[in-house]
Order: sequence, then C-alpha cells, then structure tokens
Amino acid sequence: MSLATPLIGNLTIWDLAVIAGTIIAALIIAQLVSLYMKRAFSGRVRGKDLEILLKVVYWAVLVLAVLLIFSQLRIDLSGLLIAGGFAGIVIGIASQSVVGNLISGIFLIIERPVSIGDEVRIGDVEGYVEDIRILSIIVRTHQGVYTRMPNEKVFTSDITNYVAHPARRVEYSIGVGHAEEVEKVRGIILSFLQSSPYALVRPAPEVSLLAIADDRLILSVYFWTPSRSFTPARSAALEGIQKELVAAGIEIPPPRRHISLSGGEGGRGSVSRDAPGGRNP
Amino acid sequence: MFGEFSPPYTFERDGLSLSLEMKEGHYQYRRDLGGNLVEKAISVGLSRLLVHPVEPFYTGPETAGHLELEFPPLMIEPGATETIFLTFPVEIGIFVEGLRDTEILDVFSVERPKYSLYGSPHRGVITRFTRSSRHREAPAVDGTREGVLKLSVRNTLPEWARVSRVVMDEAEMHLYVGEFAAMAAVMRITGREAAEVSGFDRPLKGGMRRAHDLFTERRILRLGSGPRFPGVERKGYLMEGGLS
Repeated sequence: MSLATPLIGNLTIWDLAVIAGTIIAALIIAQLVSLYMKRAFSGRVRGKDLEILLKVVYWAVLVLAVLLIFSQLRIDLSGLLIAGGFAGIVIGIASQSVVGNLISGIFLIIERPVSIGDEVRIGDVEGYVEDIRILSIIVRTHQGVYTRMPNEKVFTSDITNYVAHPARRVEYSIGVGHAEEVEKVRGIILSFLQSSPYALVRPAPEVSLLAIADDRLILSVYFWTPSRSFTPARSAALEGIQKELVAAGIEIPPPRRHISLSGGEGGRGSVSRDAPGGRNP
Repeated sequence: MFGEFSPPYTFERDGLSLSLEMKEGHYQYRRDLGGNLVEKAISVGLSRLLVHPVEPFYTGPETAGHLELEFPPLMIEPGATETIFLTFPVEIGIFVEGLRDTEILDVFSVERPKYSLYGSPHRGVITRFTRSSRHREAPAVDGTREGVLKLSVRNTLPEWARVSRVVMDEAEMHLYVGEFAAMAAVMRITGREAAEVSGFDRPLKGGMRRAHDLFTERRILRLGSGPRFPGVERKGYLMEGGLS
C-alpha cells in the first residue's frame, strides 16, 4: 500500500497524514503562542482580559488550521470566502470601534507608556491610572472623578507620564528687594534646600539671578525632587523658602503700581506704569 | 537602647522618650520625639517589646529602596582589597511580640532624612543619602542615629580605582544589633564607573544578633520580588552611575 492509495473516498494516506500533522502542529502552535503571550502580558493586563485575549488567539490559530485542512480536502472555499467576506464587512463596520480599541490596547500594553498608579495627563484628562484594560484605561482625576478612556483615544492622544522618570525639577522665580545681597539670599535658600528632605542632594539645587526688574531682583531657584513627591515638595519648599527669607529680614516686595497726577486743579490722574507682577508660582 | 524588653519599659535620651506601661486595663505605648507625640494602646496579649534598628527607608516623605553613602575618596591599587568602616543612618522599629506573632508598632527616625538621585534623571534610582567619614576600625556611634557598615572594597581592574561612594539595595542590608546596628558588604569594582555591591549576612562582632527583619515582612506582605531568605544567594546591586 503506497501513500497515494485512496483510503476514504478520494483521501489518500498522505492526505490523512497531512491533516493529522496540521491538527497536531496547530494545537502545539496555539499552546505555545498562548504560553508566550501569557508570559509577555502577565502583570500588564488584568487576569480576565488576558484570559479572553488568549482564547481569541488560541482559536484564531485553530481556525487557520481548519482552513488549511479544507484546502487539503480539496473543498472549494470560494463560496464560503465570499460569504465570509460579506459577513466580515458587516461585522467589521459594526465592531469597528471595538476592534480599534482592542488593537490600540495591545499596542499600549506592548509600548507601556503608563502603568497602574502613575500620575498622568492623557489628552485633557489628568489624574492617576487606576486600571489598564484590554479596551480602555481608567483614570481617577485629581478631583476624584472616575474617567474611562477608550484605548483608541488614549493611543492617539498626547500622553504625559509625570512619574515615568525617578526625579523631576522644581522651578521657582522669587523676587526680592533691590537692596538685598544676592549672595546672602542665595545662601539662605540653598541652606534651606540642603536640609529639606524634598530637595535631592544630586543633582544639586541651583539659585541664580535671573533678571533685574524695575522694582525687584528676580532669582530663579531649581531643585530636583523624587517624581512621586513633586506636588508636596513644590508647595512645602516654597513655603519654607518664604519663611526663611522673612525670618532673615529679606524684603519680598509686593506688586507696586505708580500713579502720577499731572496738572493742577482739574488735572487728570493717570496710571503711568504697572510693576511686573511679583508672582511666585 | 536595643533589645527585647518586658513591660513596663522606659527610655529617654536627647529629646527622645519611649515608654510602655499598663494603663486602664491595657498597655499604653508612648513616643515623644522632640515634641512629636505618638500614643497607641495595645491589648494585654503582649508579652515582649522589641526595640530594633531597621533600614532607613520607612519614614520621611520619600520611600527610597537604596542607601547611598558618600565618603572621602579612596584610591585602591589593581587587584587589592581594602576594608573600611562607614556610618549609615538607621531608623528605630518598635515591635510587639504577642502570643502568636510579632507586629510592627512604630517606626521613627531621629535624623531628618535626605535623599539623592544615583544615576541619570531618567534611569537612576532615588537613594537615602548620607555623608560618612571613612574609618580604619569600627567607630563609636550614637546607636539611635547611626549604624556601622564594614565595607570590603575589591579592585578587580588592572588599574587604580577611585571610590568615594557606595550604593546598596535594601535587599542587601542584613542588619545585626548589639549596642548599635551593624552590617557588612563587599564592593567589587568591575569597571571604571561600575561596581557590584553585595551584603553579607554575618555580624560585625561577637555578641551581635540578627535584627528583626522588617524588610522581608514588608516584601512578603506586598507580594513583591526579591525577599531575603536564609541560604538564598542574591545578586548584588550593580552600581553603573559612577563610583565617585
């Protein structure tokens, strides 16, 4: 008996061996792909979502194998393909956004621009990432509002991750009176920052004279802080610097407005100049 | 200060006051640190109070996972090993030992913590930072503030190396306690700007015993990676951000 001997109808021993081989190979490939994806996405995707994704991939591999078997059985699939094509178009149009979100979700999982717990801005939504799902990302805004963002929207939005790097720089502009010695003010601010737990030792804090404005000297203050402490660090350090400067008798001039009155009786008063704001962020 | 105590317990030094005494049917724990007061009531099931040093990562605004010590520069010739002693900040852990298990009651630091960034702002790590003198022998320290690190620096390079800082992963810190906290580590210089730092799980001198391991408890509770287990060898921390 040769391999070309028909065994069942027109099916030869060779055909049956190929079909059996295809089934076995498909099962092995489906298992391996599932296992690989489970390892790759474990911890990145919620358990339930991962389960669904793995099932979809597993069955997709098996469906491909079935199509291969059909061709081995010499079954004409053209009619099925036309019907499938139409069905595909209809299903595709109906589930366009779902598929878009799913694919965007997979790319986001691979790229990982955000992780659970990160402080982020996605488009115009700012807050903490609560959950990363296969179709959406959940963000808790700073106001405590639950916001579900479809992955497709996330994927096409500008994403800012405030805690992706371990440290961030805090920047202030601080105005002091013209009569103050820059060296002295620098020393007070640096001394405070060197003892503050919020300001990192390295990179070292910097204080420099930024501008000599009409009514004040403007100093720029830079220091680095752990990214996750940025918000409390920014306000606590500014408060501390202000207290230290006041305690040392350093003048922090308030905004001033010069009004000059011209002419005698009936003369008209005019605002000649607005002093620059003197605003400290 | 450190040890295991049966209530009542009192300790006072330099603005720090600790006490545990029976009050109205239960134990009252009280800690006063420079006017900062903490009070907790404990059920009578308590049998002992453990006062142990813990790694300096539990208080302060930032939770760092690495300790960075900066010291006066040390030049080491090719192939040589130099042993130095440094001081590091400690925090104090108060544990209550009940009938079934031991629970953390309080952690505090007498020193104000300071942090730094080791490595670049985008790939570095936040460290608990301190400057230390370099000693040839174990220095006398105030145990409530500092511990002693015995550091063996091995230069495996065929050229001289300059070292003025060491960074340790918290998993590499095996604290032992006597009158003060102590630990040992080895720093293998493997490149001009790289070294591997591993902790030794052994006491600095006789009479010291293993400090209560808050790190492993915390890691197990968090289901995080890399807990310390006896007999399990861990790879040390790789310093890639420079040695000085």
